Amino acid sequence: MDDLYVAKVRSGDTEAYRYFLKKYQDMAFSLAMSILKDEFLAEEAVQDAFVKAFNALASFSERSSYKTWFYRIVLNESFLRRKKQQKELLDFHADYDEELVDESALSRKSQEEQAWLVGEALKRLPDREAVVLRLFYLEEESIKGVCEITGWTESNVKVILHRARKSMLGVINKLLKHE
Amino acid sequence: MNEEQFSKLMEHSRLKIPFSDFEERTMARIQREKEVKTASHRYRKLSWLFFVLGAVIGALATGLVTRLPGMEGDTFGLFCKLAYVLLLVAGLHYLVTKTDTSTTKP
Repeated sequence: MDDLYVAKVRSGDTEAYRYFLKKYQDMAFSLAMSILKDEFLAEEAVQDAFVKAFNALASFSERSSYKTWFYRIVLNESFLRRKKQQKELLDFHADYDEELVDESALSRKSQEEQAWLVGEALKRLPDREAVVLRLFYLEEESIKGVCEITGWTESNVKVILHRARKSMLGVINKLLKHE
Repeated sequence: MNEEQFSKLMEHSRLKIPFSDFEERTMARIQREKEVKTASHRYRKLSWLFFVLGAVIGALATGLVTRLPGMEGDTFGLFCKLAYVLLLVAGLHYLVTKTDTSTTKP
């Protein structure tokens, strides 16, 4: 389906680009938030990524899928913006001993509370870990797919994913304890 | 917590873009940039056209001015030709660099 709309946009139908906006804006925003941890900065990065992707669509080779290509642009934009901001974001390093989450306490929480906990935990996670978690679990990308999007090596992604799971549970546990 | 439970928990991590007008603003920006791009392309073409016209007129004027009564002389002719060539090179350099940067920028 993406290929069809790529062809439409290439042939001059600018309105057809709305399809990509509708389809990818939320995931792109989630990825940008993983890195920038700020809604306004993430929105700017996503908008820039959409505009860049539109302008570069003529050079899109179709060797990779549009999704992979676009997410790579989103990540580049977000990392670039973060570098420019030079904002000192506090990287959370979870204590691995804390990975044992009190599952009963977690299950007692409502869906909204669980969503808040997950969102808050992801905000505190280092950018790379949050990106890999979202790509792997939300987009259901394989390790290879994550590598293609991020440009990181397979072993690196595996290590980050392993560490990210532990960190995530550590943060959730901490948040549950401090409530 | 097993993999399945963790995966289920991670479903909560999908964020919705919290700006309802995001789509409209982005499309408007794309349209605007497209218009600017089209206009600049048209202006580039026009600049080349006027440059060529100017070069032809300049060559004719340089040839004619040295034939005017009272304007004869090797030094004056040489000065006119030198000024013409300098202007031509400067104009060409400007156009080439402008065209180059505007076509290679993403």
